[in-house]
Amino acid sequence: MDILLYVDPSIRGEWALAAAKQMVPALRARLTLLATTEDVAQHPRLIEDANARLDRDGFTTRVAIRPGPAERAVLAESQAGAYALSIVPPAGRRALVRLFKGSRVATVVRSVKTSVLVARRPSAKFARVLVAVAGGKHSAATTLGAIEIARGLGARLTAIHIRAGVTLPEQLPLTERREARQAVESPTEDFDQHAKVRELLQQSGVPFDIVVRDGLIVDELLAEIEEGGHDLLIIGAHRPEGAPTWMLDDVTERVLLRCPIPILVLRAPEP
Amino acid sequence: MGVLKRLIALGAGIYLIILAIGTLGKGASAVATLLQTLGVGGPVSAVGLGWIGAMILMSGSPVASIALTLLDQGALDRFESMGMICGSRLGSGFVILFVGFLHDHRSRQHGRTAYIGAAAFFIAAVLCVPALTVGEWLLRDPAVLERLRMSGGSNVDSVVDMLMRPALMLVGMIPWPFLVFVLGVAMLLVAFKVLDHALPDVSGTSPRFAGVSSVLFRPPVMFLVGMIVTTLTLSVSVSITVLVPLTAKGYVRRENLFPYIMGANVTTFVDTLFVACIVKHPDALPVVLIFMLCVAALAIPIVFLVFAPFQHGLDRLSSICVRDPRRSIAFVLFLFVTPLILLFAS
Repeated sequence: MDILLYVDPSIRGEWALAAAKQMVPALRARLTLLATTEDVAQHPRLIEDANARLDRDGFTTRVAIRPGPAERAVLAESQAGAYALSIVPPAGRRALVRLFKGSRVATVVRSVKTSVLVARRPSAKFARVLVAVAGGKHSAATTLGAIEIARGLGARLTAIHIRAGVTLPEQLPLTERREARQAVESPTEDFDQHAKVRELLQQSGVPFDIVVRDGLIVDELLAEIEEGGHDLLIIGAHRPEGAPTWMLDDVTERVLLRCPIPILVLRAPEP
Repeated sequence: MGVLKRLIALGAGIYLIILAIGTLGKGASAVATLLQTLGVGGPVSAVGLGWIGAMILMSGSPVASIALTLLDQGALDRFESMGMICGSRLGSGFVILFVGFLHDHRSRQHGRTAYIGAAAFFIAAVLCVPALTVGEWLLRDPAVLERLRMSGGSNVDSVVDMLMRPALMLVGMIPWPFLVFVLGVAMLLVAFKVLDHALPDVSGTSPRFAGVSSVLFRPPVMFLVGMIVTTLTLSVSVSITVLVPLTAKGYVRRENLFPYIMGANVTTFVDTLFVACIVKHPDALPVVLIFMLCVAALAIPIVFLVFAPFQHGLDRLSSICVRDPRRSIAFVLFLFVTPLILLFAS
């Protein structure tokens, strides 16, 4: 497995290096350090310092230099190599700047085909990993990816499902109403994928728990991160089918912009 | 239903609305007397009056129409008329809450459907109360009123008068004005029912929106859908229930529901606008138009600029109010008593 790490000369670059130090051995991956031509020109020791901070133990690195800005460099390099994961720190743009320039991490997540780890200030150890499962057909693939990562990190895995549905006051026939209620209230009974998620977690041998919360997806996810003391959030990157993209809200992007911990947007293979 | 049947229902519905407005007008003097006796006056009291009316009739639209008739007959002034229209929206929100509350009680699934009602009520309150404040201020400006008043229509009026005269003559033979007013209200309810049959069936028309139970649409998209569906159904509560066959699952994601209800609150005034055109009072149209535009002017920036925090607050507030059965009952009772307090506030 190959991991691409964008080396940022700012303080947030340290976050990405710290995240990489945990992820590369956990996934037994090879690491490529990527810097922009402009950054290397301004900070000639950028790569050297990054290598020193990584304090490599059992993994090798190679170096790639590409013209900036960062988003373009990451996209170009990820297309050139067979990377499974790109690690990118946030640019730290304030709301007004972000309004005009956009979010760097959101742009990277949208454009690259690899999974992306957005390296916010990481804990000394990723001990608690939270994976969000929506109940769709992609849940199993996301869970499998999360299990692999949690196992490598030696972390406890928590699967969270947020019940955002509310039943409507229509006089449905009783059977349909019961089905609707089950779908909302008992995901493990109604959604095959939830039963599958539980089964995968039980078979994995990774210590796990399942949390179900009611409410708005982004709000409840952030509340669980805060209350559960999680170190890393994993979410799937699939887009729902059936409606044009312009009509759909980008939940991943909204989580990306507000999540206080490192977040891994997992692009699992199609089931 | 075939096109011909729909056209017949449309014609009958419109005829009945116009007839109901005429009948209400003939009985309005009794209501004016009653309001004077009870000491009800001013926009705040009118909010209570509209709220109670919507609770009794289980719908806001007929009450908004009655408000315009009372304006036409001089029983209410334009400020009170707008207050009553605002109250009708709050009462309509309460009806959705009450139906959800009963639904939860019957199905023993606490708070799930009442939550929708609480959200619908809060959305109506957040949009309509500030809209009333701004609207009342705009109503004081003669230039604004003059610009929005309808001109012409004398030929149409004479045709309508000719069609209505025989039926209204019969109504005029009833000696008790209050009974005439009650008859007018009944006609109005029948008229809206008949009109329902003329409206296109919007349930299940678009497979694109079948995902409102599973995927998240952008708030402006759901806002627009709510506006369109309510233009066709004329009622917020009907629009919400339309989502059931639309989703085919009986449930909907909260994130999709909030902007949808907001859109519904803007176009639910379409039928009241129609009534404003029938009522001969020059201020009827400005009253409805100003209120509708104020609601839209509040809703649009919320949906486009600050929807995430708005949604967060709304979700928290609605959840708190229906968190447990005791709280739900207290909340319903509080909203039941509030219009009575408002009614006698002045």
